[in-house]
Amino acid sequence: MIDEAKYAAVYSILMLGLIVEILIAVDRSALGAFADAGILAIAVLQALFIFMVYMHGRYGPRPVAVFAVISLLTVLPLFIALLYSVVMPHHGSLP
Amino acid sequence: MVDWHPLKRWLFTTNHKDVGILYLFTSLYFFVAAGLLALTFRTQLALPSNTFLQPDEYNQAVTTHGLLMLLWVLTPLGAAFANYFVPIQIGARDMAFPRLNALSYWVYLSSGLLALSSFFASGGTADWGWTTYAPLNTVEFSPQVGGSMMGLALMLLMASSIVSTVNFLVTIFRLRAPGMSLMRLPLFTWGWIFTSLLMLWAFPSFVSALSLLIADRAFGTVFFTSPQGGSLLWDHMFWFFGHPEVYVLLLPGFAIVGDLFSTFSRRPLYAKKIIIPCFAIASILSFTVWAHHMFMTGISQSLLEAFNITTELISIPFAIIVLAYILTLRGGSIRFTTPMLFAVGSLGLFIIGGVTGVFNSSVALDTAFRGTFWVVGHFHYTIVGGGLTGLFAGLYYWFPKITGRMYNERLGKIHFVIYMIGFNLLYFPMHLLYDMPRRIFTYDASTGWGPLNLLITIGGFTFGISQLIMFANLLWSARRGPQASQDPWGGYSLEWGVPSPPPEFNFPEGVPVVSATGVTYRPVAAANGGHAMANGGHAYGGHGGESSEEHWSRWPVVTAAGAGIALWGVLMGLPALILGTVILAVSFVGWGYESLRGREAIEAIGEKWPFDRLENLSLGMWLFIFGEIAFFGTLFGAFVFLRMNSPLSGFAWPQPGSVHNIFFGGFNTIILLTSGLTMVFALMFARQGSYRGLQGSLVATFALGAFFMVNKAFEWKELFASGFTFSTNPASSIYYVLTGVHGAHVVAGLTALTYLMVKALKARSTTEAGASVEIFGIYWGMVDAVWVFLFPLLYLL
Repeated sequence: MIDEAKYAAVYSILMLGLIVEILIAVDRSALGAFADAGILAIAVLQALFIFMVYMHGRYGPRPVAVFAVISLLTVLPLFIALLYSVVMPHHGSLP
Repeated sequence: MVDWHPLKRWLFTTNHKDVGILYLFTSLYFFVAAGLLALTFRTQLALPSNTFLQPDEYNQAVTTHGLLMLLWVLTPLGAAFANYFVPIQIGARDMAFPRLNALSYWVYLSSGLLALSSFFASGGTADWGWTTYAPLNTVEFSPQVGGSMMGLALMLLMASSIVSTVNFLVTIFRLRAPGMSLMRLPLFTWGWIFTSLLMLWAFPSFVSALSLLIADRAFGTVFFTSPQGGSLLWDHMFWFFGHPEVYVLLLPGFAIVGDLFSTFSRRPLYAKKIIIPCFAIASILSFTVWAHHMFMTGISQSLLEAFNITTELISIPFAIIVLAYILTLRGGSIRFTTPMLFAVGSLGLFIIGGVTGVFNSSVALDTAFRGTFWVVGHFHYTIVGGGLTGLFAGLYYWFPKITGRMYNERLGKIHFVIYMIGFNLLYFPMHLLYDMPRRIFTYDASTGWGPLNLLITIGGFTFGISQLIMFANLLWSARRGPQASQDPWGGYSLEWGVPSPPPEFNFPEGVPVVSATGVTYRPVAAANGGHAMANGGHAYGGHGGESSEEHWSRWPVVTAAGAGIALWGVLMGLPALILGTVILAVSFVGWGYESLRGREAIEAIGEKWPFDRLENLSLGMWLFIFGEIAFFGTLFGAFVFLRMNSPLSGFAWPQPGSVHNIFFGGFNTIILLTSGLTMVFALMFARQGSYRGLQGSLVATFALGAFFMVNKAFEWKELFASGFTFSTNPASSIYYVLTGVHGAHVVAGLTALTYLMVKALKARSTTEAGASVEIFGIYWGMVDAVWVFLFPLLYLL
């Protein structure tokens, strides 16, 4: 029964997150410039709940979480470099 | 009557040593093919204004040489030794997943044959250089079907490598013998751990890049042909894989050199506790240096500075390792046998490659050297000198263990001398050609490059001939060489404690138990704390009437053949595609029905840190998901790049709701997330012993997953009808690729679910089905987790 309640609670959280995401997207004025960040933050929280409860469960000891974080960190430099490649004086070949 | 037994053995084997030998022969075969290609284009460059090759032929030869050597020769040659020796070095009887191990090999072979067959396609094979730079890789500049075939072959190879990587990591983390702590592992196994981790996180990004490339070439998407993506997007995605790949090529040979220095100087490896963290630091840093290949692309000054620094930093751990290797020799009683000569030679060549690499890390010097033969010389000293030469040291070192016979020492030393002369004649003068562009097929005599090029070509042929001496020596010695003892070198790792060649299941005397004072062998139950193994305790010795045939599986080779034929058919015709697909489908059914005694017997009974609480399959699935994080992470990176670049390049990204129906997407998200809930309920019911609950939950998950895909297909149809096609703009291209690869994951999941439902129906207990449900639940959670990012990125932002 405890498991059922836990899974149902997480499902409710995921649904609630989805509704809030859509509401923000439909009417951005509430959050203004933070609308996109708010939507992404909700997505991160949803993924975290799925990882912690739906995937993590009883078979997710600490090393899995550590490796998952390392996996995320490996692509972080690529994100930064890609963003910097956009923000830079626009790319083109050198003279 | 023909005796089919040997043929069946090599086709159906799942034994790690047999698979290792298959890798060895195949990688050496590709080595010869790639080497011959090198000799053809070196012949072309030997003389000014030469016409031995036409420009297209030259480009194809250079491209295929590079790709084969890097991806089908060096890494698999390391994998050959890893397959053969890592399980023995850690005290295991086999790999964690023997059938997957065989599958990795056959898929590797299949991909290599697909790559080579592209030569015979109309217009020839890929001609864009091994870096596959955009826009050369696009249909506009390389319209030949052989180019696409090479792309698919690379995808297949990456799949093989990732499966192999997962297998090795589970094996090393979970199947170590009692007392075999991580710090007691030989350096080669350590090197292979880091190689595997690099492959796990770097190779998926190449798969992402190839997915975009193949979408461009086959479906007309615009990733590398539009100003929003273009060459810079490819450069980032490719080199994010490409530079860690350098260490994938280097580390196995480099680690072998360390083990050989220890063995042949009769001294323990100096500062092993520092060398291993240095391997780790170098591996981490390898993900932060890739843009030094892009100094000339016009990326921002801040990035140039950052990557200049990280590239110089990465030389520090390697410098420490080199010093530790050299200090290992100090005071030792050194024996200059052939393996040791190659090990010393490897280190010397690597030092030259490393020093010239520091030149390239400097933005100022790199600006002068980029795209010249200096760079070609540098990376060959690093990869061939440090990587291949180290692997050849390993080949001589382990030859007696693999064959049970000694090679001819005199011929080995002659090989070494000619190898070193040829190598240095071939690659050193390239540094003197720092003003010659590397991507030209001929040059004028007035440039003055002729004499050095002739010298380089002579070096190339000398280098090639030296390999013939090795092949002759090893082939002759494998049959006629004197018998080798169990430990001809005085080695310290576990493979030297078993007969030469090792028996079927490695340790006939029982489980090796490792301690500070040495190795003892105990019966399985004793080593397992008094508990017998699930299979009756014959897991180590191969006793109890167990024969090698019981571990054969026909499905790995069939699956690989099906995959190869299907991919060939994608480009060459429907009949081949249908045939390949049918073969694949049959093989998948076969995998499900097959029951192997050896398959389930690979139990963890020794050291399992840090994954004590995970079963082998769970860990395998988690590792696969870590790779998926890199795969989808790179694709998300591409999305961000395209999106952020759009306003700067005059493209207005569609506003939320203008193309996609937010509520329809939201509805589909509800369906997928609900399938996640039914999936965890399935696991819960399996634990509670409820058959009906388990079966009902699995059916509900399948139905929801299928409904999600039907909706997705409907959405695609509507979008196409409204003119939002693959090639409309970057927003449409990335939408179809992201939802397409995610959909492919859902379909793969539904296929696995079908298998699970059948298994649940047939299961004698819910516990029996529960383990599979648990593994699948992790996968399905990942599919959900990816979608919770895809939905906002594609529909809401």
